[in-house]
Amino acid sequence: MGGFLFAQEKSPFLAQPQLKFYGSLPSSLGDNMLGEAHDGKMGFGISVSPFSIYNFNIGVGFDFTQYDVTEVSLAGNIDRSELMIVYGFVSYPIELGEKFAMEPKLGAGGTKLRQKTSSENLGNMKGFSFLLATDLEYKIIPPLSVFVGADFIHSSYNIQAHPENEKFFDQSQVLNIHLGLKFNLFKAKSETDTK
Amino acid sequence: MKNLSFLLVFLCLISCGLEYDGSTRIEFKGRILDEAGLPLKNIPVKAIAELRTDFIYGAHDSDVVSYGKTDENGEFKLFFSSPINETDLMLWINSDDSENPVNPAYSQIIYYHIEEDDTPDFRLDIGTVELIGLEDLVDLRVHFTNSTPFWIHGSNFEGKMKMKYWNMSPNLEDEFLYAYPLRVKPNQTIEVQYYYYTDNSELMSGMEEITIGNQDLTYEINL
Repeated sequence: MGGFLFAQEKSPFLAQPQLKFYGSLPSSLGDNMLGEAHDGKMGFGISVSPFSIYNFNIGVGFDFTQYDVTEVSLAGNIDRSELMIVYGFVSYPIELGEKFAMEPKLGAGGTKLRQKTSSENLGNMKGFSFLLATDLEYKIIPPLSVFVGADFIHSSYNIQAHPENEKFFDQSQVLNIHLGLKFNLFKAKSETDTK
Repeated sequence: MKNLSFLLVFLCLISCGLEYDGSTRIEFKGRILDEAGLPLKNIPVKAIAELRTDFIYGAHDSDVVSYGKTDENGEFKLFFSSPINETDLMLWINSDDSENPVNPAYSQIIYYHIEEDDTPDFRLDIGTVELIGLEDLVDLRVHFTNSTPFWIHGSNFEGKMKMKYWNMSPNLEDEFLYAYPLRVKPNQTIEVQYYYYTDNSELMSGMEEITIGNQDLTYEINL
């Protein structure tokens, strides 16, 4: 007796939701207002990747970091600046054995830099950010993993200033080190059974 | 009516505070020298925005929007978010409460009524200014007289003096009225620009040069 094998093409689309929460230690870099007049204080973020296409995870994220002002004459008489980013991203998980994985990420989105005292808001700067990140993940027990990583964020702001000062205010670069938890919510089958 | 005014003041104080445009960054800069032309280091400077919420009772919101000190070259730069609803923007040099200098060895200067026209390209550059030592000063009293009723809208004095208030927009009424006598250095010429109204007149102006000797002086300006 013979049989036939019916092979079906594997779908490039996988509904494989992943959720990440993390805390971060921010640092601001470069010859700009955030770099020269602030010290990184703390941050947190969340990212959701509901599906993948050709093994690239697609998702959205929110990142918040807070910086203390160290030079009032440059930043203004405020206590702190808060950098908020809402972004879309694509990432690619690379398995490193059974327990470890690495996931580089590329993202872009809208940015707001809010300047505050303890009692009032002294203005916002809005713009656009690019994000380059990578995480190293350790799978504790499915669906839970712990990860550590770093992200570099370059932000450009829409500002008005004297031409000699524009570059100082219209951009920022930050490097965040983060630690968090990842949940793989479920893994959907992408192949049908064959006989 | 008085109760209504109090209510309006209260409502303004809780809802009409200073507001800022964080996307517009203003710069105040300058250089401070002593009488010998040497740079003065560590002279405190600050930028203040004010919002007068009640012109009857004088209630106002006031923020120090930036502050700093001069460097070893006597230079300073202050940056801050642009206020958008202020009634006044000021630069205080070596001044803490408009009465006494922070560094007691030197004079103080307050620039006020800084308007948008004074910050082309979002920068106010006061250039090089001089603070004087406060020893051996003499008194200057200035009296204005006229044959018809008048009132002085404001005045700017240019010269070596203990306390200089400089109105950047003389068409706007003086925030700071000089309290005579003025304490000034002896043996110099002081230039006074003054602005005044007479009955049914538009704002008028005049200028006078006052020669100071080594003694107290009372000077009369006839409008």
